[in-house]
Amino acid sequence: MSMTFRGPYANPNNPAVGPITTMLLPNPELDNTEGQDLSLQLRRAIDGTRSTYVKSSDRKSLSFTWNDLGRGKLVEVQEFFKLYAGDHVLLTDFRDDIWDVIFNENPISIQVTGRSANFGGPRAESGSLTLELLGVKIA
Amino acid sequence: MSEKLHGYSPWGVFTPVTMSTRADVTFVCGADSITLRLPDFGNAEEVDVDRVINVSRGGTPNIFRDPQWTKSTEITVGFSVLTRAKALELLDFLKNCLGLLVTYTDPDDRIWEGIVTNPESAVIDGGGITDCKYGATITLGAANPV
Repeated sequence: MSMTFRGPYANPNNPAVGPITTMLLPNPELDNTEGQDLSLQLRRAIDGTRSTYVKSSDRKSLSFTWNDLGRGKLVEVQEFFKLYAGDHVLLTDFRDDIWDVIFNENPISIQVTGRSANFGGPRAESGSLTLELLGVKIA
Repeated sequence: MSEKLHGYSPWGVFTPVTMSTRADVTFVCGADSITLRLPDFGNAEEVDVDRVINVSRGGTPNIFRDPQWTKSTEITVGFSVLTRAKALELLDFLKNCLGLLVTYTDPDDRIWEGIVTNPESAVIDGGGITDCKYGATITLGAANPV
């Protein structure tokens, strides 16, 4: 199980073209979040009648954190973000759900936190990263 | 743990990144330069990419980016166990390079050019019985790899 990011993802609203680039990440830490992109306005008339004005969509905001990525993988995430911060990306998450997402957070930040047995980079160092995404589940 | 998941393993059009190891880091600005020991853990890099997101009336985010628009990195490195002489050398360096382009060679032997954005940052006397008791933090903003 892993997370696969592929960019750019062409959809009817974003006819991006270009070579497909793939980035694999391990499963994220627990406490990943999945929120809905909904809004509500509540109004009350003078006689107490309640009216609601809503905006609903299938979009969800996703947040994933990794704490033990190797230094090389952190650099790879940075390079992927530089390439596709302005595009849609196809995400296959650890449940094998497929999402059409954009990076919701800009800038992204990494922190090198300690020594590690992880692979990547000339030094055995690892760090942490959080990605905030906004997207629609397509499969 | 597999290297594909945790290590540098790009597939596609990634810009190649070459890394090796160094025993120190250097900051160079014109004729001025300073060499410091490797930074403490907790060093951070923040990648910022210029783009536009317009949200339509229906709430759909439309994202656009021109490839010519800027991408930059903010690098924050902290140092400890510096001698007083080295701490004063660092303060002189920050004064001399105020607002100028600084070339930074990082612990992975990657070379960056950017501007020191915290020149007012103080060196901190952490106390102790040895002379190596000073700490400092340097932030290199608007940095791009050379």
